[in-house]
Amino acid sequence: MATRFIFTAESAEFPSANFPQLVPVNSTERRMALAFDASTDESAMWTAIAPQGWTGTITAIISYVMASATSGTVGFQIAVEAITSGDAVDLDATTSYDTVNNSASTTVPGTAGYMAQISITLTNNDSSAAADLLRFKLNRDADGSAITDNATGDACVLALEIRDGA
Amino acid sequence: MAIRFDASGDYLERTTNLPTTVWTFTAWVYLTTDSGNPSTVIMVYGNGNYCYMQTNEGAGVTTQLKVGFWNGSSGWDTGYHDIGTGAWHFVAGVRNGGTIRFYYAAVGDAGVTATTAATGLTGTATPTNIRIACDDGGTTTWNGRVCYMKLWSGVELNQADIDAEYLRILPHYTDSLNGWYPTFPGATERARDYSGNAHDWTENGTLTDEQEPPVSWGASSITLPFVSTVPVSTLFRRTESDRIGSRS
Repeated sequence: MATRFIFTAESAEFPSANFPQLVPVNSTERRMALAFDASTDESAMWTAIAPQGWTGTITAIISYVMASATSGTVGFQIAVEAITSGDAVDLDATTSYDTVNNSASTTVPGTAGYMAQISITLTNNDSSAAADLLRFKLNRDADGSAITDNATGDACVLALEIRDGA
Repeated sequence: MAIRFDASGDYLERTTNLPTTVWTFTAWVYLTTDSGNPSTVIMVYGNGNYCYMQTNEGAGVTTQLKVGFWNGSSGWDTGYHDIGTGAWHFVAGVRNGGTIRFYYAAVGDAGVTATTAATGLTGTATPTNIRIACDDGGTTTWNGRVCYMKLWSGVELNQADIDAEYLRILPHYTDSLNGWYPTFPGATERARDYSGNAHDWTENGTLTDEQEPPVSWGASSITLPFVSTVPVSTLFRRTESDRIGSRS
């Protein structure tokens, strides 16, 4: 696997509603993170161009810390939108994400603030190919509609790494 | 996050290193409750130098937000925009000498809209105070949220510059940045200046923090170059036939 993109909290894009807060998780060191709520699903997005040589299995690695929880589980979802030149998708008016890819229901670290990583195989990647305009939408399944997510407090995402099969 | 002012004596204030007759101020604002009276976003005053951004008052126009100047008897010569309650708006006030202009944008707008400028501003001395969320009398208070404030001194940003500031928390134009307030949550933090000038606000009243607007910090993502994993021996292997004059 090869790392293709590293998305940070500071480069996130947000929908008009239900988005994670951009907060520093350390008052002196100021590590910026996206604080995903524990009860309401919230989303953030990142845009990229699929590089030449884009191939194989696409995997997302989410680096996160819990703001306060020391038990329970979290679940994240990633949807991928891949737009090829000439596609009949009016980007002014709509989106065309593929079916979401769910993480496992993952037990959080036993100490709040300890970093852990969750891997999601992006099987549904909208048939992405080199040169496609990509958008990755990260969502915490806080309401547990698809993944058991019962850890309390915010899940603070520090970075999102995207790898392909190269 | 955003600072919540509850219109009961809450405001931010600075009294040092204030801009005089050329400045630009931008912020995101959210009016939670319309009092029916003027509500101040920012007021610059002192030493005869007065101007402020404020909702207007009057029948049917209580949520019109615009920049104007007070000349002792009347004001409100700039264009205005009806912001209503319960929605975020980006606002900008730009003064250059006797002229002041107001810009605005709502969430999702492609860019800011310029309004008719006001002219004839007087007052050239350095003001004594800048206040956020109330006026010099401690009234006309803002009942809502304010965040992501930026202040330039000696700089009149144009519309394209202000468009760039509208789209991100990070200042795009950094020359002559007098104050940059990303309004991180918590006491002291919400009033802290991150421009490097230490022009922190002084908090007055009981300020809290609430949800901010959907604005990106404005940093870039990292894309890594493709690196071949083909073995070097395969790439650079020579054969006898490559050599000039070689025998097979």
